Amino acid sequence: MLFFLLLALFGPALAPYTENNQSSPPREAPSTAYPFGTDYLGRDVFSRVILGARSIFLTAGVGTLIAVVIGTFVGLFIGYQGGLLDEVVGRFIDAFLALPALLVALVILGIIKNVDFAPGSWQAAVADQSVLIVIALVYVPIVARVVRSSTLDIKTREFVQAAQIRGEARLYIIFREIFPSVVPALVVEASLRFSYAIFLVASLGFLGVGASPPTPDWGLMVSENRGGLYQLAPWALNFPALAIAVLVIGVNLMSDGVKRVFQKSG
Amino acid sequence: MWRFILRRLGFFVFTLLLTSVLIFALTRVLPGDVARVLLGREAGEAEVAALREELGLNQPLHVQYVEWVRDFVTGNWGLTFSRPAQDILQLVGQRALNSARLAAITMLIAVPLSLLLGVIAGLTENRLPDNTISVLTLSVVSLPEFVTGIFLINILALELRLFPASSAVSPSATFEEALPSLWLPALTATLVLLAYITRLTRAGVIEELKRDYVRTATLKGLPYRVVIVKHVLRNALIPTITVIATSTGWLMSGLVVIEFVFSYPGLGRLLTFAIDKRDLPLIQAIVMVTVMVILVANFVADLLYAILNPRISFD
Repeated sequence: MLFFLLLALFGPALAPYTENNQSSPPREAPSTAYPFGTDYLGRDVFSRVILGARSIFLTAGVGTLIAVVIGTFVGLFIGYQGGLLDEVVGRFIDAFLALPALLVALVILGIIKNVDFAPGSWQAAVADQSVLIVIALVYVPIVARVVRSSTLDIKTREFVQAAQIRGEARLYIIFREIFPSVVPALVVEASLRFSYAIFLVASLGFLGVGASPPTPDWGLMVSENRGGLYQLAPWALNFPALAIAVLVIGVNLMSDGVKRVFQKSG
Repeated sequence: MWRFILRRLGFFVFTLLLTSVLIFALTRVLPGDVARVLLGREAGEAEVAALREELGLNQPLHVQYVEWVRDFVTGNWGLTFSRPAQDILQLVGQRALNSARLAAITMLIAVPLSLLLGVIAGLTENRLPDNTISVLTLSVVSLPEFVTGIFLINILALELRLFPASSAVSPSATFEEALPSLWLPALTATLVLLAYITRLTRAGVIEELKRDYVRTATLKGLPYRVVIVKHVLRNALIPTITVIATSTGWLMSGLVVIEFVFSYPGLGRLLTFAIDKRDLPLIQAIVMVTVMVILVANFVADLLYAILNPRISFD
């Protein structure tokens, strides 16, 4: 996990070739010059795997972060407010959660991908980050529900009631009294979301609606090197697949650890 | 009981409506002209205008939406945009049948296997068999389906030559024709479900073992086997049954990736194809059908849970 984070940070310095360097012979078997071999365009798979670490971390990480921030706000407010607002937003969240995240993301991205935006316009800039935004979007309701249920639980505690009687402002109560108590549940949820987000980014890349070529995206690399050429150059897709596998298991173990730490203290 | 069913039914209709609004909005309200998206960048203005008229895109949005829903409900799904134009209803029906075959085989392998593993793990809590099963299933569940699929292709198809590496059968193949190429995708899907069902079964068994009635039964002198089979399993498997129903929905999204990996002509492969071809009516139809299947599965899960568990009250 840490290893991959370092890769993401220092990848460009470590990679022996640039991501789209095509000077090498195509489909070269792994050797000392090309540790993971080269792909069908003669690009060094080792370098592309290293450089791809950054994009998967950024997309999954920032996407999760946005979802956590927005989801926390929504969850705190509807949880504290209760009543009709909670009822209505809650129903929408429930309905949304019945749909699988991968399917929602796939369809949204698939349709957006086909719309042509004027280059340089703000819409085009948004479309460039569409994977990140969609990940944030599908996770907001999930985070909001978790935060909402802990808010409901904490709202009835004495220290919150004391603040209400003191006549504190609503915003003060929500952020100074309730929010700190929600944090443990939130951290657990965030780490869980992050591991799913990595899963999602990789799958979307593989399905061809994530990063577009020639980006060194792991899922995309697996997909690009499939097909009839597979048996000619299995390393070009096995190594990125392996990288995804190791990263996902690493992140899962981490989120499991986070869960244990916070459940003990909580 | 009736109130409970009505409430779940209400949720079902609400979610379906929400999905229909979402998918409709996505295809119509997005910046950019649908007719332009369909025809591509090179099409002339006159062509685009003609298509707009043909699709009824010049009418107000709410009229378009109502018409679309009416057509969907009456089974008048129209033709695909991608050539050769095909009847969407027929196409989706045929592919859904293929996906159902794959799902059925998956369930046939996954359910007995994961129940067995889950019960073994639960009965040997924190001992070697349990730890082995838990670690193995946990690491498998976290992998994206395409990664598992590729490893399986590597080992079972290319090295051991047990199964064909690609499942690109004819979309209209009969079950017997398709069967040989169904095993590998089904196995991939199994690995995804396995961990999930196994863990729940394990948790169920462990919890039931701690209850008083188990001690009573044991002290009564009943043989271990009878206690486990007649008492523990009967209660422990209630949540598991509902999980199996829910995972049908889960499987639907997993199949999108798996069918892509193996080029198997199911509903999931049709969806990625439709997205690739910008076939908006086809995308809409597939999404609606998929969501309906998922919702029915969830509905059945809730119902089963309520029926099987006498302790649940219905309102």
